[in-house]
Amino acid sequence: MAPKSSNFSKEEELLLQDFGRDLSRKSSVIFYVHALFVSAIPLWLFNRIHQMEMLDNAILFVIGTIFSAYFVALAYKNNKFELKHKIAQKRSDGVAAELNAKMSESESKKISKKEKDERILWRKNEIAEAESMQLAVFYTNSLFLILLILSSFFFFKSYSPMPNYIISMVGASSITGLLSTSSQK
Amino acid sequence: MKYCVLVLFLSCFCVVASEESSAKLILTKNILNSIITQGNDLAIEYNMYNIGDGVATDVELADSTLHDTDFELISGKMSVKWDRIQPGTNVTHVVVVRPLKSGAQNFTSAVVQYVASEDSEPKFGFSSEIGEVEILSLKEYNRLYAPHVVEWGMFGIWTIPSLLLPYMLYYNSKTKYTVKSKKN
Repeated sequence: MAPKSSNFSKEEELLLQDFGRDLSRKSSVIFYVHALFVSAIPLWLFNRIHQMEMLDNAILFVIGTIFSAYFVALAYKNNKFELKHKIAQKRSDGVAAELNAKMSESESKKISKKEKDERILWRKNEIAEAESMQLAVFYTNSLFLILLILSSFFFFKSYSPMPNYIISMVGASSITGLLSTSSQK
Repeated sequence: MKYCVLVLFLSCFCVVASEESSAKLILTKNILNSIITQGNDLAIEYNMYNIGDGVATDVELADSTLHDTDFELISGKMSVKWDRIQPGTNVTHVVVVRPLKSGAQNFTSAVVQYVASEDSEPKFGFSSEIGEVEILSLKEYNRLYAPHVVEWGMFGIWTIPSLLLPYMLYYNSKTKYTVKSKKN
């Protein structure tokens, strides 16, 4: 079997960046910050409602937060990839209208149709990238927090605080990550 | 033959005479609280029923199972006396105590002493047992039953940057590009 070539042309690299699963550095940072924040929010509930002391359970909380943040970030990435294509299809007309409105008539005559289509595609990709990130964060965070609240305050309410925290955080983050791998949305 | 009939009749009469006018007390002990918490009042109710056909006199109820080290007496007495309890009637006594410790607590029987009939020896009886009951600590009680309105309110505020903000950004962008396409 021939070895894979790692030398892509500039166009191919741009296509991979726009339509592949990999995230840009900026997107990764945004996702991990969101994931850490949403994984740290439950600490408030466990400290004030389940009466778990922060200092006594510091190691458990740190491990739980990092574990949960990893799976939530993974879910962000998967959900964003699935949503981007759908959003891009829906925004075609709106983006085209925006660009046509911005360009004057003379400008519009100067540039070729191919150039115009490329600009629309680039702008559409930019909009879809931003919207899919925002919607993926919202959707994933909602799912994670709902699962966490249901498990911690309903299903495992009678458990003592430490097992409650472990089961709820591991369960909620794992299920959120697992559901994100589904391709049907 | 006549002599036998006479003896039989007299023995029956003696049996009937010995069972007349004798009291019989039944004592029940119940906890009125549904949740028992350390530091919160606990009401214990004692019900005494005279199911006999005689008057019970010199009735004394005593519960020495609630030690000072475990319970603080708030209201009522642990030792109570009644002069008489008529047949077919009942009396109720309530004691309010405050548990000083949390954990499993065994509530055993109280004791009643009474005179069942005139010139008879005092009788003793035991109440029903409640058994082992879990007394919650204040921390555990707050964890399970307090409303936590402030905590949930603050949680709602913490979730704004994670939920509301991303959705608002998405919605604004969606509205902007949907309106544009409809206009054209």
